[in-house]
Amino acid sequence: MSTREQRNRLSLLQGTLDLLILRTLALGPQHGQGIARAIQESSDDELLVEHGALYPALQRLEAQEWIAAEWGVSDNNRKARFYTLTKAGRKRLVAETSRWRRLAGAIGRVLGPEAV
Amino acid sequence: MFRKRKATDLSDEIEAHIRLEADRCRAAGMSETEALAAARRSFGNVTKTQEQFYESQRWLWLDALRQDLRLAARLLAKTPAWTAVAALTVALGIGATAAIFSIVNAALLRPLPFPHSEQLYAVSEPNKFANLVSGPDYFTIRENLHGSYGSSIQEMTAYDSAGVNWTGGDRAERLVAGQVTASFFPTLQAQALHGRTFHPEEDRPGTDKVVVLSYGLWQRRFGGDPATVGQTIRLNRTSALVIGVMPQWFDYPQGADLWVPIALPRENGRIVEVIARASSSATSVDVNQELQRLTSVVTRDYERRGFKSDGLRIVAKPLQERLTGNLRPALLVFSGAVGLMLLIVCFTVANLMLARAMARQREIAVRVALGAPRRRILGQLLTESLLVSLLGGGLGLGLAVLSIRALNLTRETALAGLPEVSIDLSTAEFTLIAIVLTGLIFGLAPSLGSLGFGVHDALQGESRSMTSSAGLQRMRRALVVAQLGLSLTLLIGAGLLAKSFYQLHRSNPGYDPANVLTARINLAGPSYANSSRQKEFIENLLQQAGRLPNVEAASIGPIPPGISGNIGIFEIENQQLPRSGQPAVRALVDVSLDYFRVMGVPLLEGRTLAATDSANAPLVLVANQAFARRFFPGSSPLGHRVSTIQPNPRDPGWAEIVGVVGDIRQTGLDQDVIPTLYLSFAQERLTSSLGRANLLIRVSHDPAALKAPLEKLVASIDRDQPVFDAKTMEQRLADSLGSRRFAALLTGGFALIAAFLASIGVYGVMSYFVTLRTPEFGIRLALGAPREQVLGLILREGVLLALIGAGLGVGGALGLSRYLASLLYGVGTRDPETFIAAVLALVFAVLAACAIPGRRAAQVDPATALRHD
Repeated sequence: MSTREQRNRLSLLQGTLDLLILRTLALGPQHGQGIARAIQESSDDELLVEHGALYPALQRLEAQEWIAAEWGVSDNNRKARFYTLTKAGRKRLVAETSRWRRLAGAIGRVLGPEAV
Repeated sequence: MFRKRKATDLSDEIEAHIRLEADRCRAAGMSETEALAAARRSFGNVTKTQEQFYESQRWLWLDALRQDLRLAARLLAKTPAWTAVAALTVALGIGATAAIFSIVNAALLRPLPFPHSEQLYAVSEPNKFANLVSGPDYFTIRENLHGSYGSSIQEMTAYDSAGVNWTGGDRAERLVAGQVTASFFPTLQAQALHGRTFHPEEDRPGTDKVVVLSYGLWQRRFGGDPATVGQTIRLNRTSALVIGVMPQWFDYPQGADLWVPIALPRENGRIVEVIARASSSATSVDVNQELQRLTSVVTRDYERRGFKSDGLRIVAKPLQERLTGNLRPALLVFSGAVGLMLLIVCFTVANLMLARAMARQREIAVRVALGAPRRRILGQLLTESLLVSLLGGGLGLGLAVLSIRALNLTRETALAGLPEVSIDLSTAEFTLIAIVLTGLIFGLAPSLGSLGFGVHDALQGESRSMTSSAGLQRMRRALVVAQLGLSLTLLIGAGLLAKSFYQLHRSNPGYDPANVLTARINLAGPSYANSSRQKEFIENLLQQAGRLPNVEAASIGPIPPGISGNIGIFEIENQQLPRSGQPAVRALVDVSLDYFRVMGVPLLEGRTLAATDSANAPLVLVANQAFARRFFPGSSPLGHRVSTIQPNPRDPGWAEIVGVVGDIRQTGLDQDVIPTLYLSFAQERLTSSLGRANLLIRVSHDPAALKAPLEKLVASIDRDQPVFDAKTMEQRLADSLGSRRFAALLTGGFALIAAFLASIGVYGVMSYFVTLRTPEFGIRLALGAPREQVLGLILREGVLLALIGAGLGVGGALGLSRYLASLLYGVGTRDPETFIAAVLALVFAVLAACAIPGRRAAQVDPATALRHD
């Protein structure tokens, strides 16, 4: 991954990383690296998760008790800290997702058709 | 709840992340090392992530504070001498401030202990008696309280206090009794702890043989036994039934051991203290309006009975003001003085901090250069000053506790009327605020100063180069000038108070206080119900006392300082009294024949009282000089007759003036002499005035040694009449100046501390000045300047500081000294002598402070000095 490659990627809007983490964990428990990779892959490599931001975000979500963490063993037998979505986190995800959809839709309408 | 996660846990997680990423890279075909490097690269800055995690974990400022505190404590511990000086300086300032605040709090701020004490007013007839009301007027007022329209006064009480003799036990004891009307406790809204207080009918003569005990007496004499209520005790040789015990907080009139009904006769000239309780909605204006209406009722009553009312006025002021109002001017002065001193302390420590900051310029510059935000450096410096302030403040609070303990012991003489002083919650709060503010004030100057200099200069320049420290040095000089000015203001104030004290101390009291013992006896009980029995006792006592060893003469009469005898209006036969100016009142006092001899008062005219002036002989009086001057200006009062009983048109008791004696400053050295008439006690017809007999005995030497034989003598005549309050006259005179001595010593102490701190400030600044200019002095000396010239340079700098400070100080004193006016005696508020003396003292102190740095400058070795740079 060169610097150039990174530049072409989109950087995340403030606050959206939390939502993406919650969304990723809705599919099942995952460790930090897995979350970062999952976001990158499911966005067709458009989104790059900065690791400097990932861990404080995980920390924040854990503090809010939207996710829980536990040390476990990864597929390839490595020790890793696994995160799972809590009940409160699931509720939060639903609320945040609909809020985000509305926001994105509204912004889309304001910006108008792509042709401009 | 969210558990705190350890930083190492995160490191593990990051490590795991990198390994997982490396696994993926390897799977994509990279070699082991390549994969690991790529994983690390993709992760980015590990440390930054860790930092972010760390910062999210805690309150950063708290962390910074902990760091700052630790650093500050370490730095302070590294310079123990500096820390001790700074902390002790703060301790002096905070200690004095806390002590003075606790006094002010006790006297003026803390409300009286009664429920709704803001509703309580002291009522007085200021043109007749300073703080009192005549008994008959009280009855008229109270009976007309609930007039035709809603009254703003709920309830009213009259009271007085008197000594009573407790005669039940093995040894007679003199107690202080509050003599009160039945409405006393309801007015103050105080309930008995056990039993009850007085019923309304119990304050009438004849039904008044009941007593309420104070908590203290109940504990002391009855061991706190609730069954005391219902017992009978012997007071003044009559029985009284204990009906109640008051709770511990109730102490009014101050120091009362018990309360008895006053049984005030309706038609008697006895004067009493009066308290009124206003209705909950009434203001002070309402109360005084009501009293104005009542005044006209009283005046009409006077006229109906054929007496003159003489422009009677009845007024009320808040009880607390009345009780502590006389302390107000002194406390204002003390507060001002301690405030100035605290400022000087702030400046002194600020100066110390500046000196420290100068020494640390490089360290701070390095920290700034390494990227420490200025906010953090400022925080660190402030933390350091707050720590010094807390350290000193803690010590200071200890000092305050000690000084308050000492003050409570001498409270009676130092600040008469001051309630018990204690460090309570509000004092603690005030002190804490003072500590923090002090720390901020003296911490701010150096902090701002330290940030002002250029980092580049400080790092590059020699530590002694002037450029970077010039700002700090200027600030230090400004602080020193302010210190000098403030301490001069204090010195002048203290000087004025000290001079007042000195003037009074050496003023002529009008009598010779040396070798005189004084004591009091309270002739009470049925066996002294008429004046002839009282006279018999006194004559007997005086005769036997005259035979005690070393006694030259024994007498009864008024003991200065204090009001004694009957003070009131009177008439001169066939003559109109001067109407203008002060009311024409005189004091009429009973004395025995030897009184003037004991007091050493000279006879100026006519004759003194003689044994032939007996009960049956025509009444004669001896006047004092003030009386003669006031009522017989330019002529002799001898042969004129004046009334002794007043107001009574039927029997004025005409008495002839037969002599004039010198003035005695009876009410106090700083008080005007009251026109006084002396009557031989043998001719006195009232029992009340003889009941409180004051003994004065002149001895050849050592008057205090007479105390024990006198007590024994009195007990042998009547064991139920204890002698009390035995003191030498010199002691009394010294005590009477106690409050002035206290004021002079206190402000003097503050001023000396202030001046000392200011001199130290001067010393510090001058030393630095010399250090900075040592090379210059070296050049001067090398070029042949005489050493005196170099010394002169230093002294000139010192005198310049002193003069600017003196200008400020004199200005401050001129502005503030009028607040001292009520505490001064025989000294103007702008007394030039005091001002000049204080300025000279300050200049001298400054020169003394310059001496050591000056000597150092003059002894600079040119060779060494020049080699420095």
